[in-house]
Amino acid sequence: MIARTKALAALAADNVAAHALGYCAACAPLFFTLVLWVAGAAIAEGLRREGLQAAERGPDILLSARALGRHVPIDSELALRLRALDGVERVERRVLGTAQAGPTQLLVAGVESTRLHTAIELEAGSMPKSAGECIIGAELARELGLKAGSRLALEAALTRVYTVSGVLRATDALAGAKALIVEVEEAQALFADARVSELCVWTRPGYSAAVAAASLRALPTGVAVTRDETRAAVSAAANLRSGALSALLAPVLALATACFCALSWFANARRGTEIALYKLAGFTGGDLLILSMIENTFVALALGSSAFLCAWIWVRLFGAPLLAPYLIPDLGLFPEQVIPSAFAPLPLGLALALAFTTTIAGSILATWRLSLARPLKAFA
Amino acid sequence: MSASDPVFELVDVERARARAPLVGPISLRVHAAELCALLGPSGSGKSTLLALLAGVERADRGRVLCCGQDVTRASESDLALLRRGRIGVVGQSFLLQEHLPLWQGVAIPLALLGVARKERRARAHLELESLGIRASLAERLPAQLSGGERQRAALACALLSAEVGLIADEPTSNQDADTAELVVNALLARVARGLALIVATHDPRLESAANQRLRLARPSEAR
Repeated sequence: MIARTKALAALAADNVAAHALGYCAACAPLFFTLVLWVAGAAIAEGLRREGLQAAERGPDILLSARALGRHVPIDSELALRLRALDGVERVERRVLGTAQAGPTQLLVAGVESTRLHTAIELEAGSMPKSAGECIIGAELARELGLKAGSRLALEAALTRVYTVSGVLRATDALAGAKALIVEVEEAQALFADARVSELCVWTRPGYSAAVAAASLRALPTGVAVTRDETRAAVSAAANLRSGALSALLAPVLALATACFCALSWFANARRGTEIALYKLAGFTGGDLLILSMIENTFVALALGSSAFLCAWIWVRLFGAPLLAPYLIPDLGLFPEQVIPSAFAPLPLGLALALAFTTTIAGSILATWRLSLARPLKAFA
Repeated sequence: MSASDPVFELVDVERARARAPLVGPISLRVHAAELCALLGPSGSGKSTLLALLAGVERADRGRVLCCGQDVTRASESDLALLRRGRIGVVGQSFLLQEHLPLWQGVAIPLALLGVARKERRARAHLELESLGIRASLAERLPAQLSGGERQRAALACALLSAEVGLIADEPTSNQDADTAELVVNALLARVARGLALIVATHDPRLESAANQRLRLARPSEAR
């Protein structure tokens, strides 16, 4: 039995090699769909991991304020009051807003000077040493053609001219890819507002962030988000992104499967004489189905693994051009920023399972139909 | 099936609904180590009779037995199992697996028997060489062979699965005198070793070597 299965597997491999072009044509729509799905799933997973890492590195509590359903600035004085609290170890101010650089809208982030000089690494240039200097994300630098030493006019509440002192690494978190980073005071000057967007609070060991957050929520209009809540939100967003991608690709996959079934049907009809000869040589319908199943297993393995490899090359080596902008807002069609991605074993397994199910399901009816027919063609 | 039972047996067989109708009723018994030659002009039903024996067509009346099994009632799977490794069948149009190198297509019956690839290759080469096909040709695709070579290759394939019986439809029709003799000698050698051979032929050597000769007539001539 084992020897026979091995011999059939060898025959199936020969058949796949001999009909390689036909199989390529039948599998092409499936291949492209799988590449899209695997690449999209990898980017969604990469974004989830990056988000979780950011949550891990971020504050225990992120405090912002809302009024009439919108985020509103917080008085800077609150930071001083929070610092004086017993369980609070550290409070950092953060200013977030958008500004125009010519036709381009970009994110401006004002961070504490200590964070700017300790937590950020640059691809080129140096940290801002004086007022009027900023650092920018790699994607923004590419889009606007900026480098260290370039000058940039920003328009927000006021119009200010900045000198780019450094450019962030392309491998850094995507959130900074199109951002301009300055010190808090510099951002406050740009937006002509002495308040801040949010406060990052680190609690002392032994103090519960959840309890502290509950107290902070008691503040008027206070919105306090703990690290656990951030993690949950990141995961929920990632699941939504993956789900939306799968839902979008489901009809495409159905179409590709139908395409494979139709092409298999016609290809098997062309293989009528070949199958008739098998039957004349002693193949039963079951043998033919096993042979077809082994052939399709080889095809599925080649299809699934090549789709996975192509998706990996597309995302990791080329930065997922044309796809990344659909999953990540504000990215160009050909992003220079390294796209976060994670090629986990699960998508590979799913790609293989999907390829296997589709190829088997697509060819079984045609093979079964031929296996029932008398081998008249072989005895013409 | 005992040794004295016929390998092929026809009992009052008729087949009218065929491209070349078989005028019957026909009865025939071919035992092991016997050669039965089917003779007659084109259209007299020789191929139809062979197709009935191979289980490719079904008789309108009568019984067709192959290795003691009634092929008129057998399912497609039963017929395939009957042929597997025991009965070789080669048609007139000497069809081959066009997508595979010659030796691979020829050795397909051995794959079903679980013979390892290396041995399949060796046995296919041996069988092809016994019919005058060089080893270098065995590596080519069938489309690169001449008609005569293809016919001998198809016969080699049938012989590889013909442990008990062989059904052959004009196996020398496309051969020159020398290769036809080679084919006839190879067939007779297999018959001498115990193979039951039923062959439709116009070849005088096969006709004269046959233990039985069944002469068929066209339906119009029979009337």
